[in-house]
Parts: sequence; C-alpha cells; structure tokens
Amino acid sequence: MRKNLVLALAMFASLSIWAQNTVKGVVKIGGTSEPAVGAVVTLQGQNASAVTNAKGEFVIQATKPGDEVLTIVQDGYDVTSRSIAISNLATLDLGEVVLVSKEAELKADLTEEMFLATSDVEFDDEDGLSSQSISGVLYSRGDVFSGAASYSFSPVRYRLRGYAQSYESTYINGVNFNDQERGRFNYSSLGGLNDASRNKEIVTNYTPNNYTYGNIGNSTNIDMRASTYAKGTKLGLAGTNRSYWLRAHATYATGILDNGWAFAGSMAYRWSQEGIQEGTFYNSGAYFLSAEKIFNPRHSLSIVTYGAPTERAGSSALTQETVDLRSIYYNPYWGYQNGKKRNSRVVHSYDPTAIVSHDWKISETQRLRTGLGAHYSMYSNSALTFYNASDPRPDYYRNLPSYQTDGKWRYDAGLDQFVADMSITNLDLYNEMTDLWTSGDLGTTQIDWDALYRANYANNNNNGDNPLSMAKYMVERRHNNLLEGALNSVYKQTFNDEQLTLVAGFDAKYTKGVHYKTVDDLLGANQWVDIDPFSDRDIADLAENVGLTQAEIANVRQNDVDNPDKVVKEGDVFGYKYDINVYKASAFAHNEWDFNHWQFYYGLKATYSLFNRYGYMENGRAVYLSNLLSMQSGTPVKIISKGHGVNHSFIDPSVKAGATYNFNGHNRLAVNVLAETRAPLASSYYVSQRISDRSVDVFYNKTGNALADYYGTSEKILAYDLSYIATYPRVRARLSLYRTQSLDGIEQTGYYNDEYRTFINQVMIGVDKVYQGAELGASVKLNSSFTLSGVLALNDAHYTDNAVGIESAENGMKLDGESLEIKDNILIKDIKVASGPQLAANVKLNYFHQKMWFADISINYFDKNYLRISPSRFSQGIITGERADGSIPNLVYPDEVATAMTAQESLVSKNIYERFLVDVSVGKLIYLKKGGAININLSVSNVTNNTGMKTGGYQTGRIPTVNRVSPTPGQQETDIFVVSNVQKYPAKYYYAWGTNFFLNIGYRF
Amino acid sequence: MKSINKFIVICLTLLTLVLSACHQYEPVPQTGYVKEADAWKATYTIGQLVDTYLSVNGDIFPVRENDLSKDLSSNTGVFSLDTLPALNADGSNAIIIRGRIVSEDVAGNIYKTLVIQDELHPEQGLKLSIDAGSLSGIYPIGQLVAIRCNGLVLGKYAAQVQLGVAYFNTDKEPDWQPGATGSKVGWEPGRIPLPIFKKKVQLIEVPDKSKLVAEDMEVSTITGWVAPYYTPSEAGYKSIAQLASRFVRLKNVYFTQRSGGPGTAEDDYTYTVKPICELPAPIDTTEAGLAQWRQKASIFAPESYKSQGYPQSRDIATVGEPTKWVSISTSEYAKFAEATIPSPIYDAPVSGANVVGQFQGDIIGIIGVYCDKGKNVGYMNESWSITLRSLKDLELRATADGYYRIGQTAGLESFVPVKTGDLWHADDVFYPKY
Repeated sequence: MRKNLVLALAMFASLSIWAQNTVKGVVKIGGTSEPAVGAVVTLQGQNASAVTNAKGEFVIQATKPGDEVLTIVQDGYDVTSRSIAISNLATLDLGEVVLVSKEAELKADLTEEMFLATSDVEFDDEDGLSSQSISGVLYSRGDVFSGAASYSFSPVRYRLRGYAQSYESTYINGVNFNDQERGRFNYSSLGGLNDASRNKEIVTNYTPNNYTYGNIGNSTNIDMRASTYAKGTKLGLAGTNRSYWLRAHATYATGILDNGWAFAGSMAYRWSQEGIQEGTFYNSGAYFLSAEKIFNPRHSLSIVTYGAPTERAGSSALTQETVDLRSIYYNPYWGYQNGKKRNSRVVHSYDPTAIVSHDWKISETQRLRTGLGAHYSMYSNSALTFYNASDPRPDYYRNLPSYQTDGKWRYDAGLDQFVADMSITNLDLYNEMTDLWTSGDLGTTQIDWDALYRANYANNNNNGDNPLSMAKYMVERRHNNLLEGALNSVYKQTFNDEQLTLVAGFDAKYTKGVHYKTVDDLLGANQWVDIDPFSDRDIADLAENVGLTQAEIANVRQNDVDNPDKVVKEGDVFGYKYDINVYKASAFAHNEWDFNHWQFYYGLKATYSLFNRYGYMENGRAVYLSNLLSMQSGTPVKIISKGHGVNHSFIDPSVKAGATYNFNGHNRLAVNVLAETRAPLASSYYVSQRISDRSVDVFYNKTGNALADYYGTSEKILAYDLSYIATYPRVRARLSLYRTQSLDGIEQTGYYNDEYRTFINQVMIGVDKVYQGAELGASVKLNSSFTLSGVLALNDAHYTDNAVGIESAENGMKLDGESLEIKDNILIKDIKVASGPQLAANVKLNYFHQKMWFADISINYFDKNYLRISPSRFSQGIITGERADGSIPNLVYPDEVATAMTAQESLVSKNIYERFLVDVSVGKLIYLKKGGAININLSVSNVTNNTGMKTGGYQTGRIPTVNRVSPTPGQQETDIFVVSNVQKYPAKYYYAWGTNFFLNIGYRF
Repeated sequence: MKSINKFIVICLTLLTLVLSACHQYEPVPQTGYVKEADAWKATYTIGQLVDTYLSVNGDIFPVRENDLSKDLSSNTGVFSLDTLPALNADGSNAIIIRGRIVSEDVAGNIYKTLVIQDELHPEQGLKLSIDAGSLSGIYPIGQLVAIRCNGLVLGKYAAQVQLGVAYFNTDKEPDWQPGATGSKVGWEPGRIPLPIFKKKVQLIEVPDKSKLVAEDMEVSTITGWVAPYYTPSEAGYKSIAQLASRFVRLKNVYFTQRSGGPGTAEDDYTYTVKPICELPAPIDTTEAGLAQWRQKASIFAPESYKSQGYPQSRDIATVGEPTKWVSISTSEYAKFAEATIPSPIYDAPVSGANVVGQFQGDIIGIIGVYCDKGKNVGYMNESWSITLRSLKDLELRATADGYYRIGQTAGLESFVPVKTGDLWHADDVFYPKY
C-alpha cells in the first residue's frame, strides 16, 4: 500500500506540480554508468520512501522541510546514507548518488594497484614520453564489460578497443587532467590514494552526460569533493609481492558538518626493498586533503589538493635470449655497489595538484559548475651514460652468447622459406658465455659499479693527458616536467521536466612541458663536459660535404654552441633544455531529447589549440643542418634551436549524434556516431624535439587545396558503434559493435643505435588506422550466492594504408652515409597496431555468502597480440630497393628474406597454456560489535605461474648489416649492403608476472 | 575529535617513513684494486709464453685462407692459432703473465686492443684482442694486470702475434677481381668477448703511467731485425714476436713526406705526400677515384673508399739517413687522422716557399708488424710499423725559425710560425679534448 502511495506521489512529482519538500536524484552503481534499478530510497525521519525506476531515478515527497537522513538500500550493495536539508522552496536534487558494492569496495584497491604497477614499467622505458600505456578504462571499472575484466586485464596491458590513451579523458571534480603534450593522464599522481579517488563517474564514449563532451574512448570523472566521502576513518595495511611489499593508508572524512563544512583527508605509503622484478625498489608516499563548504543549497565550493612523491627503480623489456638465460624477472639495470644493490634507472615523480571547484544550482533546472585546476608534474628518470669507455650494459649484444652464433639466412627445405641460421660456429665460446650467464656471474649479468668508479678515478689521475677530464661513466637524469592550469565550466539546463537537456561547456588550458637533463651522479669523476658524446665519429665525415672548417665541424658536438665545452657538475643542466607550450580552448554543447522509449542526442564542439617549442640552447647539430639545407637549396634556411619556435595552431570541429531505443526498460539499443578532427599532439609533432624546432609539417605534400592543406596534419576520426544492453535483475549484458577510422595520425618512435651511439628519431606521418570489432559482456546471477560473468573482446586494429616516415639521428650523423634525414614510404598496410591483446576473454565465478564471505575465480584467455614494428624495417627502400623519391638505399633485403623480414611478429605463445591467466580471490567483511568493520581480502593472480606470456614488446630499429657484399660474382661492388645475422638485434618483450598476491586488511570505524 | 588525533598521528608516522627511506648511494672508495699480496703470480714471462706455445702452423685447422688448394699443414698463409691448454681442475697448469698496459685508445688510433709490456722485461710486449671498444676506460694506461691465459689462443695474423680466442669466420671475402673464387671461411684469431676477459684478468694496484718503460730504439734496429728475404720458420716467427708489440722511443727521427719508402717512385703504393692544395688534379673523379687521389694527402690517415678501415702509413726515417725508414701507421678512425703530418719548415707561409728546416726528435709508439706472405714476401723490412697512441707521442722540435703547415688548404690560415727548438703541435682540434 505504501509503495502504491509512493508511486502515485512520484507520478505527481514528475509533473512538477509540487516542487516543495521534494527530494529527487539518480542512483547509479558505483564506478559505472549503470543505473541502480529497484533500489529503495527512504527518508528515515518521515518514513517516506520511493523505489528507483529503470533509469535509477527516484522522487520522494517529504511531508515537511528540514534536516533529514536519506538512505538507499539495494541487495549486494552497502547501505548508502546522506544527510540532507529539505527545502520548501525548491526541490532538492541530489544529482547522482552512487552505490558502492561491498565486493567492489574490497576489490577496488586491488584493481587500482594492479593497474598502477603495470602502467609504470612501460612509461619509464620511454622516459615518460610514452603515450602507449595501458587503457585508463581499466582504472575506472566502467560497465559490466569493463567491470568484469578490469582486474584481470591490467597485467596484460590490455587497451580497450586498442585506443591510445589520448582517446580517453580523465577529469577530477569536473576539470580535465589529460596533459596537453602527450594526451595522457598521470595515474601515478594519485599513487596509493585509492580511497580518495574511489568515487568515479564513467561516461561511455561520447554519450550525453553532465560534465564533458566526451571522447571516442571512455571518460572518467573522479569526484573528490569532501562531501562525497562517508564519515569515519579507514585504516588499511596490505602486503604483496609485486613492485612493492607493504602498503599502509589512512583516510578520515567528517561528512557534512553542521556548519556546512566537510573535510576529508588521506595518506598512503607504499614501500619495498626489492620488488618482484630484480633490483627494483619502491618508496612512495601520498597525501590528499579536501575541504568543501556548502553555503546553501545553491552554492558550494570545494578545494582539493593531493600529491604522491615517489621514488622507485625500474626495469626493462627483455630479449628472448636473456629471458631464457635468466628469467622474466631479470633486470639489466642493477648491480652491486659497496655490497648493496644499486639501480641505474631511478624515477623521481611528484605531481602536486590543486583543484578549486564551484557548484551553483541556479535553479531547479539550471546548474553551473566551474572548476580551476593546476598541477606541476615533476618526473625524472636516471640512466647511465659514458664517454670514451666501453659500454657498461650487461645485456649489450656482444656480451651475450648469441653473438657467437652465425645467424645468417639459410634455406629450410622443410618450411620452404629462409630462416635465420642459429648454428653455433664458435661452440666453445658460446658454451663459456652461456655458463657465465646461467650461473649468474655478477660481472657478466649485472652492472659492475665498482669498475665504473675505478675507471673514473683512474681518469681523474690521468689529467695530464685529458685536460678537460670528462667522466668515463656517469649517471644522468632526464627530466620531463609538466606545468598545467585548466579551467572548466559546464552549464546544464533541463526543459520540459527533463525531456530536453542542454549541456554546454567551455574549457581552457595552458600546458608547459619542461624538458632538460641534469648530471645526477658523477661516480667519482671530477666533471662532465656538455658535448654530445657520440657525435665524434662523424666529425670527419661531416667535413667533406659542407665546406666548413674543422673548427666549425667540431661545433657539431656542442649541445650549447653559446657555451662550448661547458663543464657541468652534479645538479647542473646539460644536454638539452626546451619547453613545449600548449594552449587550448574549446567550447561544446549537446542536446539530449528524452522521450519514453526514445532518447537521442546531438552535439557540437570546437577546439582551438596552439603549441610551440621554446629552446634554451643552440644545438650544434641544428646549426649544421641549417648550413647544409641552405647549401642544398640555395636559399638561407634557419632551423630554430634556441628561442621561440614556430607557432602551430589548429581549429578542430567535432560533431556527434546518437540515439537509444528503450524497449521495455530492460532492453535498449543504442547507436552513436562521431566525426571530428584532432590537432596533433605536441610531443609527436617535432622531428627531433631535443635538438630543434623542426616539425613534421614540412614533410607533408601540399595539394593546393587550402582546406585540405590546413587539415593535412590533423587526425581525422570517424567513429560509430551499435550497442545492445540488457538490464534484468538477474542478468546484465552488453553487446557492442564498433568501428573507428583514423586518418593522418602521427606516430613518434625512436631507438638507440649502439653502433652510431645516437638516438634515432623516427616519425610516421599520414598514419591511417582502423579499430573495429565487438565487445560482449554478460553477468548472470545464478542464485543468491553465485554470479557468473564473462567478457569477450574481439578487436581488429590495423593500419589501413602505408605511411610516410622520416628518420633522423640526434647526433647529426648521416644515416645511410648519405642524408641527415631520410624520408620514405613505410609499407605498413595491414600491419596490426600493437595495442595489447586484440582478443581477450574472461569467465568469472563470484561467490557471496550472507556471513560476508566473498570469493571469485576468473579464467582469462588472451590472443592476437602483436609486436610493435619499427618503421626502419618496413621502409620501402629496404624492401623494394628503391625509396619513394627514387633514391637507392645502401641497405636492401635480399629477395628471399624480404617476406620473413616484413612479417609482423605475434607475441602469442605457441603453447596454448601460456595464453591463460587464472586469478583467485577471497575476502571477508567482519562487522564489529562496537561499530566499525574489518575487511580482509586475499587475491592471488596467475595461480598457475604462467611465466610465458608476453604482454607487449617492440622491434628494435637497428638493422644488422654486413659491409659490401657484391650480389653478383665478378661484378664490382655496387654499394649494396646486405642484411645478415638477422637475429643480431632482436625484439624486446614485456612479460606478465608469475604468481603474485595481494593481502589487504582494512579497518573502518 | 579523538579520531582526528589518531589520524594525525598515523599520518605523521607515514610521513617520517617516506622521508627516511630515500635512496642515497655511498661512493665506492678509491681502493678496489687487487692488492699485490692477493694477486696472481706470473708463471711465464711474455717471452716465455711465446717461446713455449708459438708454432708455424698452429694447431687449429682449417684456418682462413684464400687458396683452398694450399697445403694447410704447411700454413704459409696469414693466420695461425696455437691453443693454450685449458686450466686443470687443480690449477696446476696456470699460464699467468703479468704486464703493464702501454696502449691508450682515447685518440681513436687503437681499437679493441690492449698492448702490455711484461712486468719484469719491458722489452717484451704482447697484443691482446678484446671485443669491446674504448677499452682504456676500464683498462687504463699504466695499469698492471695479471692475465690467466688458459683456454685462450696465441694467434698470428700476418706475423703479428696476439692473444685472442679461436674464432671461426664464415664471411666470404668479396671477389673484387673478375674470375676470382674468393672464399676465406675458416678459423682465425678472434677477439676475446669482454665477459670472458674479465674473468681472466686482475687489475693490480692503482694504475701508474710513470712505471712504463719506453726502450730507446733506432730505426735501423727495427728494419734490420729479420733478414729482408726470409722463409717463415718457427725461429723466424719467434724472432719477429720479440720485436712486435714493443713499446719504444725512436731516437732522432723525422717525417720524410713519403709513404712506402724513399726515392722517386710515384705509384699507388710508393709516393710523396703533399697537401691537398698542391696535389695534381684528380683524373678519376668517381668516389673511388677521389678517395684514391686523396690517399696522397699529407695527413696521417686519409679516409679510404667506403671507410674500409685499413690503416694508412706515413714514413719516418733517422735524421740524415732517409733509407733507414719505417712507417707510422694510423687508423682512418683516429681523431688525428685528418691532421697534417709534421711538415718541412718554410721561410714564408705560402706554397712553394723555400724549405729552411724540419721537425725532428723522438717518437714514442708501439711497434707492429704486418707481413702478408701473399703480397710482401721478401719485404720484411717494410713490414714494420709504429702505432702512435696520440699526437703527444710525437716529440719533434723545429730546427729553424719559419713557418710550418698545419692545414691542407692554400692560404695563410694553413701555416703557423715557429721558432727553433719549439715542439711540433698540430691544430688543437686533433688533440683529444675531453
């Protein structure tokens, strides 16, 4: 009876007749965009209640105004309660109220920890410039699809639909935090603050929502306003065997106090002496403070600050050989110093952030939320460098047994193709080297720090012969900092009782990427001199063509021509120093029409962006390149190295539309489409950003059509998808089919070439890709205890056309003996995008017992994972013998091997058991008599200890060559170098960890 | 409020933990070398090592050889390898030599090589082939080392003895000449992989350059060491080995401005070197032809066609005795490869001026030998060479006031004034700076 009365009241309320004493809101399942259907919402003091409808909406008519407590109850979720103040002047709109699943609460930590652990490694390997990290959606636990799979998919670097991180957006309190330089969100900035960042609102792709236009991947808004934290204290202690061993954290929230203030604070600490990867350590603290003042039902102001100062040591991707000789936990970056382990790659990161946000409920139907955020991300990574000394890396290819094998091509009749001949010609040497490696001889497998110090001391004493006494070995630190300020403002208005919703927003952002190197540790030496240690070899070479004097050529090695041979000591800046400035402003609006069965929306966005480079040093190589290009073209060409570079600006429109048909409240069909252009990311727009301002736009062919030329360098995207979603009490399922086409993307890679001792930059422009496939997620409640869920993601992400590549060496040397920059077509049509496993499947069985026991077991299968190719190995010149511009390269694949060399390597193990990962977890929630609760959760990942799963990897750019073999007997040599010993520079892989566990104990009171 | 206090206490504890756990590394102390008391004792001198183990043909077959029809047991070819027995389980047959490093590769003239002189007999030198570049970093000049040679090989390459490993080379030699069959597959003395070398070497005490001994030597001693026409024999090779790799100070020498011998012959193997601005115009202007033309420039090591890496030679001779000459052999990858060799002293800073003097004095270097039976049979006296570590090894002084050439182009900037007795110095850019 009461229910009917409530429903009647609800109907009345929906007609907007009685605005006063009304409370309404939308209840969502925590961490997803799914509505909570059939939840019971009660006003405790008045015994009035309502039940949420298919969209999670509820309206309660209170009998009197004043302070009240509202509770929301649904099976499987924590009871949520809120202190509210009911007004007789206007309806109290609570907005979204999030239900937290008990189990999700317990597992939340684990998911986020797993995510952070895996995202670190790849990011570090590329010195923080990688935009290829794993998918942020796994951090957010979206809908049934991601929710079921997020924990298990993190370790394999799964990327939702294969999208890059710049296709996903992350907001905090409504302010966008994707950095403008690389397009990614720094998850490490929140390191350990899982409690504080628990409250998330996910937007699937670009569907209508309250705070953003959306992105082709998902968007997440983390709500850190103090009022959203449940009152009380939480303490937690965890033990694990991953990157760190121990984690401690404490969170305290006051809830909304009588005076309208709310406070919340959190601290966390993670530590290990040595992580699961040899020689790594972890030391990270995090803090979070949030204060909110609710002035009145209309205005509230929130201030949030957080940061996570972290120091940790890294590891690297490994070749198959080193894994076979040692294990997947081998790390070439460490060695003993004075009896203690020392790692050469130590990351320092700290990203203090502050956000001020204001929420103005202008009226019952209008709301304006504005946020201002700023953060300064300090990220640096150290590395060993050397000059006039032998390579200190233990895994240098000459130090491995494989160097003693033949490795040449031979024809295999059985396979009817050419294979690399791994026959061992120098067996004794091979065996001796193998013994050194397998026995773990420290002088062979790890860095010998003592020897590096000795070399430096001997060098110090040899000053007579070496007046500038440059260190033989030293540790440098590469800094990639980011200063950002962002302003977001979103206005929402509903019409006709929410039949029409208008959301319009504006955001402006300024980003300054600060890049430089410092001397970290001189290892006993007196000093370092700021020259490029690796441009020596080509000084004589460069003399020939350009008509410069020897002294002018010698300038090429100067990193800072205005301060030649600058002496630097610990802490001094050297090598390069430049800023990338990015300015962006955008405005969007979308309309959503909501009828009984139909919803449809359309939206429009325009973005203006501008970026430039500002250099603080005049690099000798840029000067040389200017001279060379001037001579070649006959007109003066100035490559800007120091000072203001060219401004690159873009105006990018975006349109979207979509519709959803609701069959009966339980089933719906949704279709979405988006078309837009995107400005290129500043980090990939420069040919050699450490050296000069030279940007890739000079390499685009002009068509003559002004519009086409203007948008030539922008990425063009067309995305559409179709989803079927079923939401029944016992069954939830989603099936999506999608296709996203991207034209004219830019990809920046690079590799270190040992022989030339320089970093080679490779940029690919005109990159066309498609991401298409299907996602199926289903969750079935078998009975009150068991739930079975499953996920299947089938993706096909590949390049749809060839691209154009530009390769250049940072030390200014002539690649191929001829040119400073080589431009050629890269034949990557139909090559797969390296974006994690493109087939991922998961089946999970959940168990829940009334006595608050939780357990689950999940079995995961991964397939279709491909190695990231190196453009240098796929260039037209090397494959066909003639480059796009008609020139003949020095390096060509012999016909018989071209097929093998141009096949993309699959990362998937031939052994089918190595494609599975099995995870198990168990937990218990204990309610204490005096109040409070203790939760204990143990999860074990990869229980079968599968150490044979490659999760990612990249092809090395360096190609093995041999000099001057004439292909035709009796013919004078024709300058064609033939590839041999093809396995000499093998690919490097990342592996999923073996069995690892996480034990978490939490106390809440 | 009580819970706030508890919370604050916990936070402070966490903060202290973070701050105290930062990683600092204690620098390694300046010791770290093996003490003499703990070092391996020598069981052979270098001379004894060569005497005991070197043979004409070696004991590993087949060696790399152009002509497969040759009788390999006689091995009149270029390569040979003599195995040094593996270490017994009880270590009783340890072959340990001790010497001080005389080579330095900072100037780029020495590559993947160490040369040591015996600790007790500095006139005995040995070349070590190690597969790592810039060895002087961790094996600096003046460092006393003990090397356990068991399992390595004593190899010969064109009569030059070196300590290395047995390496089977499968690269086929290119056949440049029409009709040649080119196939040089076989064993050769190879470079010791660095991880293996590290296990066989001890660095004893701090390096001390002052303990190096450069034996005074006359050019004629070198050129007269072995009879000019000789048949290779065990005694002959051992005799060559006694001089090769010796660290010497050549007395009273000067640069003759010739390559390949004195006289008036002018071909691709024997010619006068001249500054580029004074060379006759090249006839063959292809890339190969230009490189061949540039071979005759008066610099230490002109770049060869396609950077083949063959060292180039410039002759020095005893003052007053131009027929007693030997070549200074320099790699085209040396940092001073493009430096102008010590030129005559002129009365005016122009081409064609009168010669009024020259630079003469001492040259320090390491003796090397290359006697490729195929080409130079009978020319043993031309097979010796001197390798400089850097330009500082040239201690030549001017005999007159005037100008000498420092650059290869015509014009004032290519000359530098000099006074009698001044030390010769090339352009600053050729001295290793860092």
